[in-house]
Amino acid sequence: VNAFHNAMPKILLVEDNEMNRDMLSRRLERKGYQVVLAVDGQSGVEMAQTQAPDLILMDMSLPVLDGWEATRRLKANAATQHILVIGLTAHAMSSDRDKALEAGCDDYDTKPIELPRLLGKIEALLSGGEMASAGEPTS
Amino acid sequence: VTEPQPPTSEAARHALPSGLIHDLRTPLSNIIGYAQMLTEQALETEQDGFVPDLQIIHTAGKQLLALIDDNFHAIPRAGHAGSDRNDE
Repeated sequence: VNAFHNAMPKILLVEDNEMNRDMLSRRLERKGYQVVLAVDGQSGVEMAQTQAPDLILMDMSLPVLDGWEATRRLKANAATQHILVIGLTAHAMSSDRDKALEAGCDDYDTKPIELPRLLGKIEALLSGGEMASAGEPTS
Repeated sequence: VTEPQPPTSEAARHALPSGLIHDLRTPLSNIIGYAQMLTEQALETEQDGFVPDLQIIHTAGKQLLALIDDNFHAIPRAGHAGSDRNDE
């Protein structure tokens, strides 16, 4: 099933900062996405299984379980490894990008979020863009 | 260790604890993000009159963010392979 053709693709946003969570979820909902929220990596891993989202926006700096480890666990679990993950980090350093991709993220973006850029990555992944940007920074 | 030089060389920037840089960037991300969100909403609801003022907030936030990124770099913490701020 191609998730992009669903009426409302479901995105799990894993973000510990309350204002970032509120702001990003409201903007994504206005663009037609269904958004569910988790506040740390551990609950993110659990909600990936119970909510079965089409895509996960994973902040990398998270309490309890960080985003790198949460992504590794999601990608190591047969029940969740198909779920697309976009890693979000605060810095545009190439080492951050490499770490996110090594952990299993399907793509990567930096904060502060530029919504058009992030939407482009979300839509590319949901429409089946397997090649995404595994090797190259896209901005 | 030889790495490609970042736009502003590491040596020219001041070292700050990574947690402090994170704590500076997070509220700035909120200022920038909410200004963008309100700009989007103003355009969608045909309240374009708010847009120039909102863009001033957005631009000022981006300027401050660029100052932080250009003048400071995080002090790397050794021994944390996966994450450097699991404890914050």
